[in-house]
Amino acid sequence: MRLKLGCLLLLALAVMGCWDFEEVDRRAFATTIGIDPAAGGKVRLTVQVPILTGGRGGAVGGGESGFYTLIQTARTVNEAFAALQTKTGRDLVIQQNKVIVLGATAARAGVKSLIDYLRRNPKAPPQSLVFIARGKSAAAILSFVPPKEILPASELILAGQTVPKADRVYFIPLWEFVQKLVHQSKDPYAPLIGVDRREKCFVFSGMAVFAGDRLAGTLDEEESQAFGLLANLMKAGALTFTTAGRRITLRNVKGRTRIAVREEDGRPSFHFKTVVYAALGEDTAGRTGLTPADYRRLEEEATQALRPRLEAVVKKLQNWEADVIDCGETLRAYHQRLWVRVKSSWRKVYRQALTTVEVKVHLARDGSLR
Amino acid sequence: MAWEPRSGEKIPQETPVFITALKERLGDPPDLVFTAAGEGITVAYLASLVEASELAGGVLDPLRRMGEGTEKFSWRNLLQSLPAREIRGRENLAEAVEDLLSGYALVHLAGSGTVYSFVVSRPFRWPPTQPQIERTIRGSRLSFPEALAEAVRLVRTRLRDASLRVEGFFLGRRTRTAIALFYLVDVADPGLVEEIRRRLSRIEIDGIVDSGYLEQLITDNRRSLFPLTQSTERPDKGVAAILEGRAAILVDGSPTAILVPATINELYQSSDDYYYGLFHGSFLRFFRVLGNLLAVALPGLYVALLGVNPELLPIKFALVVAQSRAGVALPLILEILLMEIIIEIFREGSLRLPTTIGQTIGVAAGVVLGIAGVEAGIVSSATLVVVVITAIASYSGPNYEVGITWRILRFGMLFAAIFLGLFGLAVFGLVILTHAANQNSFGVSYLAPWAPMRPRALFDTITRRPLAQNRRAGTYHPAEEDRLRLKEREEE
Amino acid sequence: MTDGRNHGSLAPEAIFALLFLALSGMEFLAAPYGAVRILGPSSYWAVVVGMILAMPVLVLARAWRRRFPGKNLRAVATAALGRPLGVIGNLLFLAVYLIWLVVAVRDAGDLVLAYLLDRTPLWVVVGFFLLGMLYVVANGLSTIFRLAEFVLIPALALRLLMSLVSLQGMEISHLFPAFSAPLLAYLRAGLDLFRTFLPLAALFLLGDLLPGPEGLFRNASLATGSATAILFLDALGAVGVFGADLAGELAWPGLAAIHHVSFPYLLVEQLGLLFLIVWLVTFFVAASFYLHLVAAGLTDAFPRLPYSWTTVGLALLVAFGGLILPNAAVVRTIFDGLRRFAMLPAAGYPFLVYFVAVLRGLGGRKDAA
Repeated sequence: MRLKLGCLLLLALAVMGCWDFEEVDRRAFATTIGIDPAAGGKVRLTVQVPILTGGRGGAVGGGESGFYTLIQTARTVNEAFAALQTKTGRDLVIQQNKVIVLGATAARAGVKSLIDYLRRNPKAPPQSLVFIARGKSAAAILSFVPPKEILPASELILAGQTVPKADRVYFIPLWEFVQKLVHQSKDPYAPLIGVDRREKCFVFSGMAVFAGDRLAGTLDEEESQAFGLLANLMKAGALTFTTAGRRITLRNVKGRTRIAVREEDGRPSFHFKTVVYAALGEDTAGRTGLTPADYRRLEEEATQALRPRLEAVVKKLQNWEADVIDCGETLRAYHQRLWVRVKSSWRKVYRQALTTVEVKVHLARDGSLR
Repeated sequence: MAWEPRSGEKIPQETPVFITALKERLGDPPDLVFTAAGEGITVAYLASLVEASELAGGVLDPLRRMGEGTEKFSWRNLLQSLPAREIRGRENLAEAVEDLLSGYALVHLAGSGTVYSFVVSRPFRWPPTQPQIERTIRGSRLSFPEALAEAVRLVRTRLRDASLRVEGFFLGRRTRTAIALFYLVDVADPGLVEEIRRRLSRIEIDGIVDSGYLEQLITDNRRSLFPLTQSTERPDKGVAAILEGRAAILVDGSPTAILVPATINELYQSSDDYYYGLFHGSFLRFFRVLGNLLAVALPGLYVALLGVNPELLPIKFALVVAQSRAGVALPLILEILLMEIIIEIFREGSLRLPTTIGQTIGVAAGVVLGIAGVEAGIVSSATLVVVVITAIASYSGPNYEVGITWRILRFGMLFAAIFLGLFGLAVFGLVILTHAANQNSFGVSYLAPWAPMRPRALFDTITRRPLAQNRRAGTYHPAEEDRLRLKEREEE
Repeated sequence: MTDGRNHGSLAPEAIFALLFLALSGMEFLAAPYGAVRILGPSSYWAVVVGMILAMPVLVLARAWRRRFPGKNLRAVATAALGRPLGVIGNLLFLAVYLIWLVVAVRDAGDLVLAYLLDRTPLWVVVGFFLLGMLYVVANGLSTIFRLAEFVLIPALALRLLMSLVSLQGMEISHLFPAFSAPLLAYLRAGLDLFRTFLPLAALFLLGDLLPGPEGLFRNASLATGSATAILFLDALGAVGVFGADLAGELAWPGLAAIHHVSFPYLLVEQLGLLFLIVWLVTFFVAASFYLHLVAAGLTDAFPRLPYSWTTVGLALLVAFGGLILPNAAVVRTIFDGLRRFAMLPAAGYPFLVYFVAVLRGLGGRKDAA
């Protein structure tokens, strides 16, 4: 019996083919994907593929750029991806995709229809970072050849993993983007990516916020910082404010915001309590010998400077109906009854809700000067 | 308790009773010899331990000469007639037995309650040889001698316990090869010993040329890929196994002992694991197991990751490897198969080379061929790295046979990976595991102590059992479990 | 000595190993799915409710072992219900396992195709899997138990590690409100998850192989407890990371929760796929166990069936059944159906048999003594 089974096993092995065997150098890894709208309701898919030079054991790249781009217009993203197979001799695979760039125009029209392929395909990595192309099409971003950077995708990934970047740009992986998109009480955000032609580099500047699946508006860098504080995203920021003719920068800023919900006439009002932890990074007046009283004054000045910024951003987000700061989520999680009541008209409720902001700054140290 | 002398029992005065008592104590080993040296005088000795000429010249001949005379035997005359040498008088049977095991000859006079022991032990007669396969940094530098008598002497000198049983067999119609079975009568599972005897007695063959023959004839499953018996060339390992309650089988003319029962776990234990401290031993053992895992799985994993599931590789790694493969003439499958085959041929070839040339050739083949192969675009450097790691890792285990098993299975893993990637590897790995789970070695599960699980014995798998563990692991169903009692503890 | 037969009863550790693997391996990384649909954010409690609902099965197993030592379900059922009823009941009982096996193998095949392979035909994956399983069951239960014991420690450790790792990126607010649904809904969700604990009913089929009642109960409870803890962590991860809304949309939320984790610079970047392998190993052992149970049950009921050919026939049946299911939606529907309707009878049948047997005064102290 055992012999028979062994034979069967061998037989099975013998009749098997290698359906999924494809050598690594026979695969073209799509490392960055850009999605733009095209005429006639179609989508234009741009894909970056690293170039393998023939050199044995050599470093990646070696030519002028380490990658090439393929562009295809089709009715769906999947169709475009499949059609791209005709443009490369290798097997174009999505498994190693690191970055997704959505064109701003496409994002404004709604992203849900664009990312279904990336959500549905189990091979598409959920870790890929989502970016919105600032002002331009995703294709324009992807076809930009940075002179020094060999492979944009890996550079972008590295940027996403660098903690000090969580200052005015907050990277978001696809799974989290989708999670916020699907979650009824949340809205997604994504960093904006642009190209500086003169400096020849990518620029991450500001954040795109969504209302539902549509791009609602963009925040500039300072607004993004306020957003980062409100959404608990800022990990190591640098905040600058002006007070009494001096310019002061706080470094290593960490923010922590709690939302207190109050109910008035069956409508929620939100009170943001933001606590900021920071160190003194720069003081243009160059003052030394800070006393506890000076610390208190500095903290007070920082509070005065920050609160209006935060308030403005909250108002802006409310006007856009973009709930990227977890108002709805707080309501849903901790005020169930109220949430059930306002759930159906949540966007309107959010827009009209009374919001107040309270800021408290903790200055812990001031560097190597007394 | 085996190590405590059984006190009290006097030496029998009657000659037949004396002989029976000794036989009983030692389990009637084939090397226990009784010689009558005159009327009422019996000389008992262990043939494996004593020097025959010494015995004859120093004890037997003077005794016999006395017998030719007319004088009445008495201890006084007797002792006077013998050449001066170390002589002890013993009145206690246990002490006498101990002397016997230390290479003394016992002279017994009928009607007397005393025996006298004469030292007639002999030096080793074979040039000490070093173990070739199971080399260790620490521990004995001896390997088993080929002559069975010498081997028996070696084990007897290392394990001077009256409970050590040595049973002799002659196998092979034409070769009449002597075979010795060692075990501790009060530790080893009686069922195990019975089973070994049964299997040995079953053998009808024209010749036993090496213990390898015997190994295959007594194995539980001849069709198993795994060695279901453990072979060793190290006496210390043999003695340790006997102490565990296992049995050792030695074949005349073969420097390799067979230890049964064997478990897969046992095959990864090197004797010096126990000579170092607990953590040192565990550290070494962990990497040994890891090395063997690499040896069996690395080429398969390499192919699965490069050919079927490259999504698991970090992008930079994938690109670098892809880059190194880009100019290579051979497809990945052929490349790695070719390299594996070449490595196997190298291994076999270098075995026959004289050692001095062997090293030079090894370096030349390894370095020059490697570089040339990569330069010529026949193999990629990544594949070369994998193949070399695999080749070296396959030697990390101390047991040579199971190393071959993994080398064979490695090809199976390779094919499974080619067809079905990681999924194939997983299922094939489970099939291998199932095969191992199906095996028994003399009534002990091959996967013990993992399965059936013996939580206490599990310490002695990837990590090392602390020596201070005072009981034997239950894996081999020992009849006696106590092992160690530290003196301080006793006094407390 | 050499034939690998089962020697007497199994070690209690073996029961623990196999039950744990079956409990955590036959669950389809989809644990929270149905519960999320019913409960929303607090669906992780469903795992606990499911376990509480499964406890009576454990208690019954102990009582069974006491009252009918060495007798399996078939023997007691034919004695208690009469031969025709008993045989039919048993066949139905086995049928639940068989159907479960069919759907599970198909779903595992789909899972492998979705995440690890792409162009390989389903029949190859299923075939390879079943051939491996046949090899495992060919030597009977002792091999399965040994296999289970061998993989237990790595599987337990890795499974726990993965469940903990999947909590990366969890948002606490997703887990709130902690009681989001009416009480009755928790019961419903618990019943929905009750099928996870179906392997426990297999205890009634093992008969004389089981260890004594106390050892059995202790180890089975321990296995249930640890499997529940891991499933609970899985559910916590899925809901905590994705939120109830998204978790309810995913086909395999448990897997997705681990798949999303990113450890940059690690040699193997996509941890989820490695986890899939770990899970596949446990599933493989558990599925082999099921295959053996059904085959052994059939040969027990019809002694003229040879065990080996029964396993081959069943494997063919499973392969055929698995391949004949037209699409993923049908697989899910059958799963849902099994969840709702088959599991309670499957666990309820032993209860029925036991009570009828007690009423008719079968078994009891004198047998035990």
